[in-house]
Amino acid sequence: MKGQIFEIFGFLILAVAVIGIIVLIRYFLVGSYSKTIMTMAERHVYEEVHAGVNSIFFMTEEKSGRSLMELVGIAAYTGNDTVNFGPGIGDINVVKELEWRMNALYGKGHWHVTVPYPDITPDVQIVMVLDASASMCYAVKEISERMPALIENFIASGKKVSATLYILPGGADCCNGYKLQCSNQFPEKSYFHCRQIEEIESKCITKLARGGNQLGGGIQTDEDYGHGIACAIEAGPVEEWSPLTIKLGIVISDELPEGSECFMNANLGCCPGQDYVEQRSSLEAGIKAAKESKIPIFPIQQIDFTDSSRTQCATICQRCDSPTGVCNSDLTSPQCQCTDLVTQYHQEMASSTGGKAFTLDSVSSTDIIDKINQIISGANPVRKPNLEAGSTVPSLKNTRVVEVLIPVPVSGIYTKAYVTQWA
Amino acid sequence: MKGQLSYIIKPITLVMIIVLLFLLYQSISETSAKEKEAQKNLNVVASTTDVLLILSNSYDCLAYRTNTESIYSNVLDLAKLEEFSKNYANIEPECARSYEFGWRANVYEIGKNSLPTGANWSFGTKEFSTGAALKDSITLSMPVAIRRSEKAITPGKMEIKLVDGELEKIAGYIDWSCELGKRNRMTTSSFSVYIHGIISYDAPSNNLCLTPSGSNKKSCRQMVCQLDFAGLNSPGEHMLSLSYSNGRVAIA
Repeated sequence: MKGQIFEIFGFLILAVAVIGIIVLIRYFLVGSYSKTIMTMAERHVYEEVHAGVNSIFFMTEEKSGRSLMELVGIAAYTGNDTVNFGPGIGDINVVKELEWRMNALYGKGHWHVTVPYPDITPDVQIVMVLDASASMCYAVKEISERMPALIENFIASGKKVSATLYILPGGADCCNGYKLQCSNQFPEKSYFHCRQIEEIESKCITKLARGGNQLGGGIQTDEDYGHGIACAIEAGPVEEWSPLTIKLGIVISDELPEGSECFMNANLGCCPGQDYVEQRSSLEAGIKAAKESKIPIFPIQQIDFTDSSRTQCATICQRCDSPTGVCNSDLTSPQCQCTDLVTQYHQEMASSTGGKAFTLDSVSSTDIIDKINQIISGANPVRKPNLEAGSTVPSLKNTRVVEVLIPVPVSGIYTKAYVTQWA
Repeated sequence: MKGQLSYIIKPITLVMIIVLLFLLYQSISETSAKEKEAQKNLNVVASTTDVLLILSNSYDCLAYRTNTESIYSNVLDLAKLEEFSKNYANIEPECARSYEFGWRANVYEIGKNSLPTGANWSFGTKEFSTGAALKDSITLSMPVAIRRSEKAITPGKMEIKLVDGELEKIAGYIDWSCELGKRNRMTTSSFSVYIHGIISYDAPSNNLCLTPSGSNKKSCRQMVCQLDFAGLNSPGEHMLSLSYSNGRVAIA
């Protein structure tokens, strides 16, 4: 009996062993099959993410035709998600450009992009417009003699600055030996240029169009700095606007745009503000162009009067008659009496465009270069630390991260885009 | 009594052991078959990913290459897309041909609203095995960029349907033999194939067709070489002998 019981036990053990083997075989086979399927599926998803990231950075933005890699690189250079290409193309928001493409390829809420912005001092491009009436004789001398050195100092300190000075129509001889024009008076440098505004008028004709009973098109007078700065912004500096730079506009004048004469009559003094139709039109043209291009304007005004009542115009030798050599002071009562209105115009121009208005101490003041120095020194926009786009990366999900090397223009350095994707 | 009991139990134990061993054998055979099937499924997934990668990364396929020989991965050249749509409307391009499976790719452009813009390009074989002749099928996609010009590179997707079937297997083997024959690397070969239907060949259109059992609907594939082939008129296992000569493959 004992032996038979052992036989039955033996059979039971064998049966359990065989069933165990069958279960184990199935378990391990199914397990390894599932693992392999997962691996293959994960491989496809990884390749899909990689392919998407590769292709997205080569895609181009419609207006500029630049690839997203270039745009992200420029954003990293300027430290700003919005890249300004100047008039024509305008602003391009790099985050928005990334967003719609990533949403199209991976779906909204399934991706995140971060690009650390390196610490870079961006270049500065300046267009300057100089009133060419005789009271600006001091400015021609100051700018010609000191502006190149000022820019060289900035370049030496690591801030690459370039400026183009546009002089309004004029050309009178000054008593200081200069003329109110560019020719042969300004050193031509790679970073500093002087041009007559007439040379660029054809590039900005739409900015100069006027309606109603106003004067015809084109830049009208030697003080028409409203239209002048609009034109300078539209045409850009000699080296053309670059998307990589901080862009500034500077106007230098002691009068209202197109002149402070009431109804163009020097004998009427300074009109009430509302009578200056042409002047306001010029001012508004300048503000409009600057706002469209997001270029701040920094007006610099000189003080023409010598007494507190503002009735005594400064008397200085400015224009020098040829061939007699007789010196004249062209400051007339409208210019002196309109000083407050000019300040008001300048402040409006500055505040509307994000700039700042400056006032010089007096006629023939030498601190014009100091004011320009302040403007350039202050051109340090707040940089963002990085570009962030997409949704917050979930902490409890399986995510895939792809790194892409992004060249940062001009600087010769690279940053990286970290693209995270999840299901 | 003891001895009599032993006479009954021993044969029963023996029979039970034989039954158990049979179950074990059956289980091993079954799992082995399942493993083979699973392996095929894995091959289908892996092949689909591979074809997508080759199409979008190889200059011989659709990847854009600059004048300086730089190749842009996942950036598809519009000119090549147009060319593929025209030249490979019914057959897979050689650059990404899989001789085990058949596939058709569809590339479409995506607009700002995340929807297709309507611009799309298709290439690859148009018809696949159906019914019992169809083993497996998968559709996967991959993001791509479509390069219309230097300043116009737009988002898109490349979708591919890859099919594992008897028609694809036979046609793949014949095309493979043809390609090797063209290169003088193999002139004769033979292989066995199991079909659930009948195979016919239409010489004027150079199409190999499979009609699955119980169906009148033919699925046809364009072949690379002209064939001398009478077809297979009955379902089941067939042994085929192939010989290549002067751009033609004779099948007996």
